[in-house]
Amino acid sequence: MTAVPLRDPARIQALARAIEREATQPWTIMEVCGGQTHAIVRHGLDEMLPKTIELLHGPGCPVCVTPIEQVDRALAIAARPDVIFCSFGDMLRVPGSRTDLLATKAQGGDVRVVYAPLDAVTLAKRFPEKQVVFFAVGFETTAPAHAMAVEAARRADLGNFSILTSLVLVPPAIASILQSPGCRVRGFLGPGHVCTVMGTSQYEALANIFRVPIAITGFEPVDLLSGVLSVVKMLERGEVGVDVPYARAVDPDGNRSARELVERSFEVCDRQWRGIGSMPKSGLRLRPELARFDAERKFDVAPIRAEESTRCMAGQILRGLKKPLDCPELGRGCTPENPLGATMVSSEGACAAYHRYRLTEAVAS
Amino acid sequence: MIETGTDSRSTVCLSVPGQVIDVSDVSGIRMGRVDFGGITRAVCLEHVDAIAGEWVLVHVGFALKKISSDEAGELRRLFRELGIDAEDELTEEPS
Repeated sequence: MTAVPLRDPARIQALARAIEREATQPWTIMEVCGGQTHAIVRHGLDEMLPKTIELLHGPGCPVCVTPIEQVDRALAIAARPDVIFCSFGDMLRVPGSRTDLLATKAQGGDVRVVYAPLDAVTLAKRFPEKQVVFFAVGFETTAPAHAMAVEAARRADLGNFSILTSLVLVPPAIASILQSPGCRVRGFLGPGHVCTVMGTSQYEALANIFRVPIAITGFEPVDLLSGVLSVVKMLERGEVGVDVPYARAVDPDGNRSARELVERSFEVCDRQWRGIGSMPKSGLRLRPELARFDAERKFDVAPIRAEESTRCMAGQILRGLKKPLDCPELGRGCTPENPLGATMVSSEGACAAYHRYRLTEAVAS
Repeated sequence: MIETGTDSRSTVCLSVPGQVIDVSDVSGIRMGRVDFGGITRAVCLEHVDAIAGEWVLVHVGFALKKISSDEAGELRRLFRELGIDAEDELTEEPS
């Protein structure tokens, strides 16, 4: 296979010119995945596009949409003296109602960053006198790794391992955005690694139901602009359907074996999304037969009332109704060091990306 | 236009290509050592049919897909340019 220069400036410019040639009218396109948002802002891809093409940033940052109630549950569990609380590093500074996991760790909580969910199972074997809890956040991409950790704990008959689940699903979020009043989105850049697991059939269904074009893309400039070009072409021709410019990582059927593992471990449930609210059938929870690995059942932390900052507009940003530069708090009352909401905390969050790459522009204006 | 940095790690979104060094059974789970540009990590290979020498796309310690070596090389090179290569992604050990 010939190497594709995915960041070659000449190729990027050629794609931008091709998009400009194709676009005869204004179109609004949403990229779903937070990693894509980060890359678009980082590389200034939105600024290369003709002014008639607007990119809106979607809700695909799992750290951002983890509900504040679940962060508060994590904090309550992590503060217990008998618990080793494990998490991806991204979650440590996500603000709950009053504090975050980093502060809990500073106050003596045993909070540990792990690279893989299976690492937490290893810790549970090593510390049988402790309860090891893993904060299982993510989309469909991450669900198999969480399911595998539970499967490993089940096979080892571990009584001291559990997960606090906040797994969410992309297609219900896309459907919700398309059904919301004021929706301006006419096409989507679909989430590449989600589709590496799930395949493309759910997106074919969305495209057909809502009559929108979707291009499943990766995370590099050429991937992303190829996706924009694909969507613009379909829009201009009045076509709907799914195109996969990221075919090197996405098979139409996804990873069937991993998907079956997820289906054996989790069931679909209604799920609260931070900033957006509850969406039916938009999340995953452990199946009843695996309840002994469910931290929410193991620890009595269920009824938590949480409070969001009223100054944060993350909800409107996650739904594509506002962009970070619309927020008066960006870089002023809200920074990565002192975030008002989770879109500023995560490196995948739209506000964090704008703060890092666009703040000078915002302050100047 | 393109800059590199060290704090672009996004553990719950990125997947990283690596080459399988060997495959073993660990407590009944098909695991393997995978090389990510010089850094080696244990990866769950239970749901891909990759063997030693082949390349996999890995997400939080779980191989999502077997990929061709050329594809992996292409991705690896790009990730290194981004400053989000194996070093960033894979140095967090359980303490």
